[in-house]
Amino acid sequence: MQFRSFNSILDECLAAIQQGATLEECMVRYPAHAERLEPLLTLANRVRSTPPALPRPWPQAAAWQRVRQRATDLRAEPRSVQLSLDYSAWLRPVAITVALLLALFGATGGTVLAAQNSLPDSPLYRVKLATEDVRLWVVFDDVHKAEILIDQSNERMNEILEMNRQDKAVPSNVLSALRSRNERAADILAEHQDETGLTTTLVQQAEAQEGNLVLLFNQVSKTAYTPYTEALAATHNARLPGGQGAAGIHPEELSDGVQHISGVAEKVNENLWNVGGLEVRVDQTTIGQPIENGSAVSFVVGKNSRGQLRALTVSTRPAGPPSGSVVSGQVEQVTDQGIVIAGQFIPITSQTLLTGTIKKGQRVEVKFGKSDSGVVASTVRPVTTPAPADDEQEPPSQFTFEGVIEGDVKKPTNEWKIGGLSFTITPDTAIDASAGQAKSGARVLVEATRQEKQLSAHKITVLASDSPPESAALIGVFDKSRDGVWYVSGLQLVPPERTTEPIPGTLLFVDLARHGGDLEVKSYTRIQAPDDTSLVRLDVTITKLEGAIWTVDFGTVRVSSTSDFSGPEEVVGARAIVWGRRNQNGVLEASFARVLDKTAVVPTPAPASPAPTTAPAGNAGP
Amino acid sequence: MRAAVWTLPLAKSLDKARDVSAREKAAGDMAARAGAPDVLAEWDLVKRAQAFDGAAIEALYQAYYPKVYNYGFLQMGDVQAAEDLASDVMLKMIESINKYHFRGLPFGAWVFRIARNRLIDLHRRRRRRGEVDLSETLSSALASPHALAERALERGQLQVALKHLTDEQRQVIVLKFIEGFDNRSVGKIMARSEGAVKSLQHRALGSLRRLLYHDRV
Repeated sequence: MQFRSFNSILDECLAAIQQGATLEECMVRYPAHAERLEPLLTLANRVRSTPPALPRPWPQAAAWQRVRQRATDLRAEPRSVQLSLDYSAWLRPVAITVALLLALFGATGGTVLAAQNSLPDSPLYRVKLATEDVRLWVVFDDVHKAEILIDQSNERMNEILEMNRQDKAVPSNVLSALRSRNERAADILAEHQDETGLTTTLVQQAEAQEGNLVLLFNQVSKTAYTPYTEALAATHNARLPGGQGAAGIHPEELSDGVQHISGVAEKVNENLWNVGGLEVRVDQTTIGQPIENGSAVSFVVGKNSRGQLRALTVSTRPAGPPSGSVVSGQVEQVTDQGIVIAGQFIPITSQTLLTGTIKKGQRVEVKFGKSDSGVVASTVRPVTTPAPADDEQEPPSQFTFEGVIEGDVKKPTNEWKIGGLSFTITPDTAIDASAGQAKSGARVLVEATRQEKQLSAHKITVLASDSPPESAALIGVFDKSRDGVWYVSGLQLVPPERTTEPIPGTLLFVDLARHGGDLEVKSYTRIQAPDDTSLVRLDVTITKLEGAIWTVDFGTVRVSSTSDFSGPEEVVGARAIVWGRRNQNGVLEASFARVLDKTAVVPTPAPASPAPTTAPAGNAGP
Repeated sequence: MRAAVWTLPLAKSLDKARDVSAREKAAGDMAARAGAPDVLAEWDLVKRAQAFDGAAIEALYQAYYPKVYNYGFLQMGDVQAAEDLASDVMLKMIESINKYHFRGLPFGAWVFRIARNRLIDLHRRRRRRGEVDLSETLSSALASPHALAERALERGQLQVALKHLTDEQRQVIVLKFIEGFDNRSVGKIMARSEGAVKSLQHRALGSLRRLLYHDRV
């Protein structure tokens, strides 16, 4: 006897009852399931009989007037735009026709040729897509079609990367095209499971694409967010066994953002893991190695409209150095292979995400990643100077703040209170909880921007620290002093009486004490003068200590007795923020160093529980 | 007799479609597979609307505005928001109607896919603005002993209970049992497979029952 799932039996009964069968007939047919079926079928009948909410007549009539007017406009449009340059309504059919004729007759039309190099912001881009569609129309072999779709998907990703290189927002058209190519290729290959070679190509390509899409979160045009989530979901699902199956990620799971979260994984239940104090759902749609209880993991998670986190990918590689390290400074040299900052060569590979054209003399921020050949640049983006302030609006200001988390952050929330300040958690705020849980009382470092009185957190790092809860610290630019209050990167600080005021524009490290609702300045250190652009900032992990020489992911840096130093004593494995410049001997000399952790942030901590368990639902990928 | 009951009616007569073009016939076949009895008549209406025929557009508007309004009202519980949703979806429907091609997705499912996407955008925007959902507490929706009789649920009762389901469970209840879409169409609207829809409807009915009959399960 063939086994039938209860889902299937219930569905059959629901359909039969809708077609006129009675509940009793269903019970008779499936007596073993009658007890479970009866209440569900009764409820379904009651839901079906619920009277609909009827719209109010006058809003419906008003809306009809708008629709009718729009229909009238649309009816008139084809005639009026035929000779205009508005290509949006008619270019696609024309493009398809032109492309079809040229493709069929082997002609080499200038338009089609020109379109081949067009980017998504070009009017000719539609011709390019249409030409590709035509190519698919004349292919009748499914597998060959999948092969072409995979190539086309690769071309879409290259276009997206080129848009990013030109520092342009990624529009919806190319994202939709990427989604459709990946979906179609995956669908075809799901039907041809013997095509393992092609499936592997698709999966590997989709893996690289997914990584890039996640990094490109901020480069996507505001109006293209829905196509972005659809493209990311389709690209992720193309990596799953069986392609776009029932178990794929739904774009809604990404509707409120995509975040990086790293920390120690603790199993809550079958599909739920606590990572650094945040609950992350891990199931068969999560791609990565199986998770062991107590292991250090890095997640890329999607956040749905309820604020729930679902893991897209999980990496059980150590979350420590070098990934996550950042250097920010002036480019001294640019070559095909990389860039030089503070005398240090940083390799750039084909996997490096470049935003804008990198030029000598430009200030850039480089994030490091790992590759087979060692440490390379993962992303390179220009550091932009905020627009000058006008009377109406303050320019955005970036700062680094250290303080203690107040209140419960475990529940899905978009607002974290840290050191008395409220920070908005943005859709892509990264959370590094390698050193401990992000919970009330934990000391954290926040990289943030202040704009229009709102503080947005870009990255929150839990620190291994025993600083008292009332202490805080700030690295920011001194703006002004007014009525006895200092404004540093827009934050209001209360200085002690008769303290020498810094020159506006000076970058400061400020040691703070919370007193009631105020942040009081205990002491401050000048890091960088307003007109000095020669310093580089390193956000790094100390990997080796030899006297005054610290080896960090970026190379070596000398932290001598003349360097301003703050924080706990340096240890290997601790994270630090260092500002410095190259001296005459070519050595990177720190002018300011702040150690963040009092102990090593061990990349692979000892198991927290006696018997390691493995996430059963984790998908290791094909 | 039983066989007749348990065999789901598939295509209505496709005779009408035999004299139309091959493409339309293919569309008709798919329409038949989609299981919607009046889908051929609607397909005809849609083709006329694609040529901006006023009467056809009005017929589609009159058919779908109330459905989308009801869908929006059950999801958001707000008359004005549901009216805005219905109005937006109708405008989008008419602006994009020429992009609709019958490839196995009935027109109604296409319209509701617009509605669902729009609803997701609305939810996201509301959350970004920090709007708080002031829905009634669940206790007000719990069924009284009288309500356990096999009569229709009160709309308010259903609407409050729906708010406590997950988004996907709520979608499947509304699309399948209120709007009357088949599994295939629900799957298309929600971008899920038919198998996933069957599983979702089971979970959704179970959750709804637990919510409505709270202490009796």
